Order: sequence, then structure tokens, then C-alpha cells
Amino acid sequence: MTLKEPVFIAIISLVLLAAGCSMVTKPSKPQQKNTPHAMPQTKQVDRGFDPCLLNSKLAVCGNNENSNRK
Amino acid sequence: MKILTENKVIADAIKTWLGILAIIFAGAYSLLEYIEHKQTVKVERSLDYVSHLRSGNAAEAKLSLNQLLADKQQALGNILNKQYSSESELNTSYNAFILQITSTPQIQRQLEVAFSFFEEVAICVEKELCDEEVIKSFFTHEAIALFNSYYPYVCSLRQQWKNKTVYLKLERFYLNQTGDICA
Repeated sequence: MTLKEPVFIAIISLVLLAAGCSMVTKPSKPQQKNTPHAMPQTKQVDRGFDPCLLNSKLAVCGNNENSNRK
Repeated sequence: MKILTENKVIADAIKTWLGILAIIFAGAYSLLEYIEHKQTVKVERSLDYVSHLRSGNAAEAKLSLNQLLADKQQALGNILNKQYSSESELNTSYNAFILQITSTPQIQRQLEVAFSFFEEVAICVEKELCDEEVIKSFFTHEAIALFNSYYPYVCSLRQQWKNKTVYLKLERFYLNQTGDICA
């Protein structure tokens, strides 16, 4: 047995493994299931109202780090 | 003959090590694929919640509650834009107004549906079943608007049920509130 055979076999195995892994199809981005083609048209009333935008002195606005004011 | 013998030993060693490396590589690749699959499942589950908010019971509840505020826009504006001598006076007026418009069972039912939905989503993220980034991207704005508008109702529930944890998960997750807003 010479040095050539096992090295050759090992290289072929790695190449086949890499080829097999690359053939596994997977989505590059997550697929959206059941996404409506026509999204409901958003109106102002759909977006909600944040009272902190009108008056930030409300109790709920004080410690709110995620307030819509930002 | 000696050269052939030496090569055989080296060949066996290389063969063995290449085999080990191949197995390690395959194992690592499988692990990475599994982790990515888990993440994909989390994102898909999060997007299911987004679809539900756009077209389910939560959507109807949210729309009703937003419509209610839109209908009372003038009165709300008067309360929030008025000059008060103290913050407690502002809060008292706002609390009374919100409690008055949420006194009907129908509106209370809508509030329960909407708040429960957002809290359920927060729990999903907490249990690492949903993707936090996707959830916060889609829901934070609406959850904050809803909670900031109707927080007096939440406070009244906490007082009525003597339970300070009512919708607390929602408050902590979306608003990062640390203090007690009902104090």
C-alpha cells in the first residue's frame, strides 16, 4: 500500500461530503407563511395613539425607556 | 522495501486523522444546521403572530380600541393639552377619562383580548420560542401605544384584583418599565 491511495480516498470523501452539504436546500431567509398578498391598508386608527406624545408628564411616560417619543 | 514499509505507516496515520477530521467537520456542520433550523422555526412562529395581529381577534380588538380613542380625540386632546397646576391633577383627569370610556363590558373585553395577545407574545419570547428581534420590530410600537393609552384601566384591574402582576410581563417586555406606574 502506498501513500497515494488513502490520501486520495480521504480527499474524495471530503469533496463528496462538501458537495452533499451544499446540495441541501435551505431558505437563506425565513419564508413567510400565509402572508396576505394585499396587506390591509393602514389608517391612522390602525396605528394606535400614544398619549405620551401629547403630554409626557403622564405617570406611564416617566420611566418608559421605549416610549414612542424617541 | 523499507521505503514502502515507512510509507505504509505514514499512510495509515494520515488516513486515520483525515477520517477523524471528516467526522468532526460533519458533526460541526450538522450542529450549525440544527441551530439555524431552530432559529428559522422561531422566526416563522413570530411571523405567525404578526399575521394574527393583522387579521385575527387581536386585530379586531386593537382596531376597536384605537377607534374609541379616535372618536374621543377632541376630549382627549383637551385633557392632555390643558395646563395643570400639578402632574397629579393631570393624571387624575386622564385616569378618570380612560376609566369612564372603558366602563362598558364590550370595551373591557376588547382590552382583555388585546392585552392578553401582547402578553402571550412576550411570554413566547421569554420561553425562547419566538424571535425577540422580530417580535419587538413588529409589536413594540403598537404595544406601547395601547398600554400608554389604557394604563389607567390596567391600574384599576390591579387594584380591583389586588394583584400587581396583571399584564406586568407586557409592561416589562415592551416598555422596559422598572417602577410602579400605578403608584
